[in-house]
Amino acid sequence: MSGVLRFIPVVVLVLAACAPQATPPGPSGTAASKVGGSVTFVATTDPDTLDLHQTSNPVSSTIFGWIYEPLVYQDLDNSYKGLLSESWAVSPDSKTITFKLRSGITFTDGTPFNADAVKFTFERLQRVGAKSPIFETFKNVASMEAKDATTFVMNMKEPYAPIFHDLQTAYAGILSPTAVKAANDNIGRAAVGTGPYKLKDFQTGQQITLERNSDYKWAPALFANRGAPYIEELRYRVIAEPATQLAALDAGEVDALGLRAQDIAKYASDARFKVFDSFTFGLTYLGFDAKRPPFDNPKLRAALAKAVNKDEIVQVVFESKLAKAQCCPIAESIQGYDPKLKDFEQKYDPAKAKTELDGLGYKPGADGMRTSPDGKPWRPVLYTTTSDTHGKISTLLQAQFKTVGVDLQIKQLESGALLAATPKAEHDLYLNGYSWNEPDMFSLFLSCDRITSSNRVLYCNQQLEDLIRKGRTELDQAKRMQIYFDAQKLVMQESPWQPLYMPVSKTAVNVKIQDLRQGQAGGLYWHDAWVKR
Amino acid sequence: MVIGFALFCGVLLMAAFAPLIAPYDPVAINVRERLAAPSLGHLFGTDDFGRDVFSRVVWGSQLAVRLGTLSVVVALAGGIVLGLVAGYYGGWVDQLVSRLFDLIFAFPSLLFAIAIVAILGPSLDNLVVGLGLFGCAGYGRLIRGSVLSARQREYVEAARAIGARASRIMLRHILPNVIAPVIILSATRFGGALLAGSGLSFVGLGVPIPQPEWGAIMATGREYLATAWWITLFPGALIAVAVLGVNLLGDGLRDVLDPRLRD
Repeated sequence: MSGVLRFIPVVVLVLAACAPQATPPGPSGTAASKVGGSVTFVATTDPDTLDLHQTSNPVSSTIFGWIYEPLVYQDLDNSYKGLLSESWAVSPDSKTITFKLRSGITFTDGTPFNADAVKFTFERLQRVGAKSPIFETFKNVASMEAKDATTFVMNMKEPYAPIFHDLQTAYAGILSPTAVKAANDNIGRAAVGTGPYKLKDFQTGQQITLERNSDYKWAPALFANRGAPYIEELRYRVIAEPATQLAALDAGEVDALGLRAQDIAKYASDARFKVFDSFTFGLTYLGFDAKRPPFDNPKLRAALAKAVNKDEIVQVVFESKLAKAQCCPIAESIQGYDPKLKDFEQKYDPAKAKTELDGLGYKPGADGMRTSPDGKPWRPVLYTTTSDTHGKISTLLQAQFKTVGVDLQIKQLESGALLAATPKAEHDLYLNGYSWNEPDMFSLFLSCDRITSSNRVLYCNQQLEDLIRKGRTELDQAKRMQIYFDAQKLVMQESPWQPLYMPVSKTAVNVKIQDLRQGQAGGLYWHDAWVKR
Repeated sequence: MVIGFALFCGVLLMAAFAPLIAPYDPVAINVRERLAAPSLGHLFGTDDFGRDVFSRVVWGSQLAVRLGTLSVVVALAGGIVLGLVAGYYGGWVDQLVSRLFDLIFAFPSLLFAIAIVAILGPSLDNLVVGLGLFGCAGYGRLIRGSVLSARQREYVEAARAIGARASRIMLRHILPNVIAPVIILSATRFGGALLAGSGLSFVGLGVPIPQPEWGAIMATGREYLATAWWITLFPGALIAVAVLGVNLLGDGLRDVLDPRLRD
């Protein structure tokens, strides 16, 4: 199970350089006058190692995300663009990707970036990367070739479209071969990459200091600042305790901090801080057990889906702050989301829900509650976790269903018991979420061969199977997105899921930091930011 | 004792007449009136779903009384049988039952109830089973001790001499003579079950949502303690009053029933 739900930390910070094109540069100061200052972040634990092939620790990847850069990055519209690569071409059989690399890029040790370095890096990953979250993906890579300095070829055993997602993570950053050899392969404390920052100091258990890479001049075209970052130093202070972290933020010792729900109101009204949203790569949905009667009937699922008031859930449970209502199976933070899909949403419409339930034979009894078409009492059971949030949502759903005459029962189970109960189809409805930053999430959560594991709604549809298979093997981005458009449309019409919301997290940032912007999927883009002194 | 009795009766009456006392449906959600402060319309204010806290607290007394009574009944039934058998027969039966009690006592009561609820799933019935099973050991030990001394008495000898069956001797001759401490213990256990039930519901292991259990109401209020204190205060006060009531009642009963305390 853990393998399926493994969390791939998506390090938006890799894209330190990305700023929205449309936003004009800051009102004050020339580039030169902006340079300087420092920003201090919190590391909740000591990063175990900065060797990007030997860890899956999110703290580590956040830090080495400044030092190493991958071949591609994810743009504001969630599409993939070249970062260290200029472009790429896919062979007709979709098994070979040929990357055209950018030239004129140097590692911070002065050696040039080229195809040999890419090949060296990925071969090292295949050799020592068992702990890396992208190790499995590279098992599918049969061979790699550095054709010339700027041409890198990757041959896969099977076409695998989600590889671009793995290639944009911090774990796929490119190493300086010279530095690795000089360090005798021990690069846990000796990271050398092409990124906007380089490692200056690593005090175990205390602080990690990164220093501006003043030679950096390959920020992609959509940045306001095409050169080196303005902020001179980035520091990560190791503070484990949330209360201590807040105290450090208040004291100005820390400049940016992810907030817990209960702290948001305080910092939102504090003029010393600005609060930014960060989306999360996940979705909470209401599922129907699509295998067992009566919810094997898509019409019944669609009827009940219309009784769900997502806005009320977001308002009451999250105070409209820590969640955003979602129309579609792929949350808006994830590639494949398309606002045009809203047309196919099972929108909140209690009147229509009632009519449809009537039409299906679920007629109200004497107490106003609907009975099964055979006249027996109908009390569908919703299974969910014991979390407070899921408890509150269930309570609201129960009330919302009551208004259309459906007597919903709630059964909260501890996660282990819940995950054991759903494959046995004990439930009628299911409330939970997924966390996955790739449209290929369909293969995990809605495919036939995951019915005994991660497909909690036991939905199996041959048409969707075909789309899932095509989506996994189609390496052309535009064509692939059309496939997931069709897959989402199908799921929305068939309604094994009623998507509810995407969790949102909040970060408080000291106002002395100027021109910091919200980036792709709600990440923060620091490359244009500077410190007011 | 009078105060205790009055408080206890108050809770019982509230439970019995909950449908008449409570002005609103305890689970009816009204999002437009969420987190409203106490007023004439909502005596105890409303919670985060706009449910009337007064109605929830009143209906909660039903759950509390049911939980207390049932768990005491389960504990009594099990404890009396096991205690009588162990005390009367002695020997390996006594050894076996006493070790079972030791085993149960080896766990803290709340942990024991959590284990039972974790295995069987959270519901009022399973909570009763968990608290009842633990209570069994307390009653059993108490009764076993009393039986050990009672079975040597002449009236037991006499009953045995005229050929009474063991079950008759235990139920007709021994039990009535050892029941006083059991009644006192029941009052304490009732209060204990109330507290444990609320505690477990507070951490989400008790009565399932959205039933208006006192502990569960307090748990929802915890998040809003700074802004909507009424959600937590009123059910908390009710728990305190109810437990105080039964404990005072228990103390009073002991004064009345324990011959050594009578002058």
